[in-house]
Amino acid sequence: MSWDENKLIALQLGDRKAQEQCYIAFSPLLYTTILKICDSREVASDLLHDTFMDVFNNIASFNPQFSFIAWLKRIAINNTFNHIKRQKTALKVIEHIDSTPQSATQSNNNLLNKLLYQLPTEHRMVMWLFIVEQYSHADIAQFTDKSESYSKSIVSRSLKKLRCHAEVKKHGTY
Amino acid sequence: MEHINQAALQAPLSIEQQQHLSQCAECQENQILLQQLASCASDLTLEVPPARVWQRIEQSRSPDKTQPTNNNWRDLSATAAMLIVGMFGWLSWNNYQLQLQFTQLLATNMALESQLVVQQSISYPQAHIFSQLEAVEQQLVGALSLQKKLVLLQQREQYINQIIKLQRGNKNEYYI
Repeated sequence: MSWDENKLIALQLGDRKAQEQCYIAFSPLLYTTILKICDSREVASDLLHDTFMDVFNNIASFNPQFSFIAWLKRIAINNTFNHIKRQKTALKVIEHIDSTPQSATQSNNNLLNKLLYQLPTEHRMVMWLFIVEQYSHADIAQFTDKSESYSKSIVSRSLKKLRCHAEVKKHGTY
Repeated sequence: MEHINQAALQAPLSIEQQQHLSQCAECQENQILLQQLASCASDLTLEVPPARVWQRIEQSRSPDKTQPTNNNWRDLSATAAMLIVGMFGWLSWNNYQLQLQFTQLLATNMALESQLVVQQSISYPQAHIFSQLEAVEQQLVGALSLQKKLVLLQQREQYINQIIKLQRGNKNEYYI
């Protein structure tokens, strides 16, 4: 279903039909974003629910001069990042769990999927923001409350990991 | 020079970075990988969330502000019904209290009437009070509300009392 900016007014008035149309139009995009970062369908479903509840409850604060999709994505990524932070503090072994293949996003041989599959959640998020969302390191630093060099080093290390993986595979075929 | 680390994926390379890139195999590999990853991003297929997500959102979102809901009407009717029942109760109780006072006053009035003595001749003050009493009684016949009747009966009681006093006279008083 197509979404036009005129529906924003109805959405801001709390119209249910507009809320449903907004969900139909943007839920696949937001769900994919969250799922690629979390690599868990269960968590992605919960975070998508929270994201749309935040969108509907805070639509009055949206400035129509800015991009609506960017605003939605920001809320979704923010919720995802908060979830990662909560998990990290609640469970120290989460990095180990994250490194375990869950096959939620391993449906094809896409290079990006391969890369994301190898990374822990937090690094996966940084890589997603840098490559797919094309955020700058300055933007990522704002999101993660860390320095620009933090995300720069993650990008550098992730690329190295991908190169090494390719090397191992190349030697393995001989 | 350090390896290239772009500020953003699409950020243009500076002259120095371009020079470094032409000499550094690692950075060349990284650039190729980044380009491949970026093109993979555009090939990603979107995943459709499970239907239960929307069902949960529907359950937890606030009521539609643009549509009047049955709940609102239900609440309003319940409040109105409670008010009507309350008002009816209060009116019934008030009416009962007035009726009680009215019966008591009627009984007092009748008791006083029985104390009146029929006289052949009456004095001027007595006649004056009798005329006032008659006026009150006429008003009493025409009075519609119970409260008005109560007030008039109280006045009637006072007048009858005054007449009784006059008829009994002063103990020290005597006529020639």
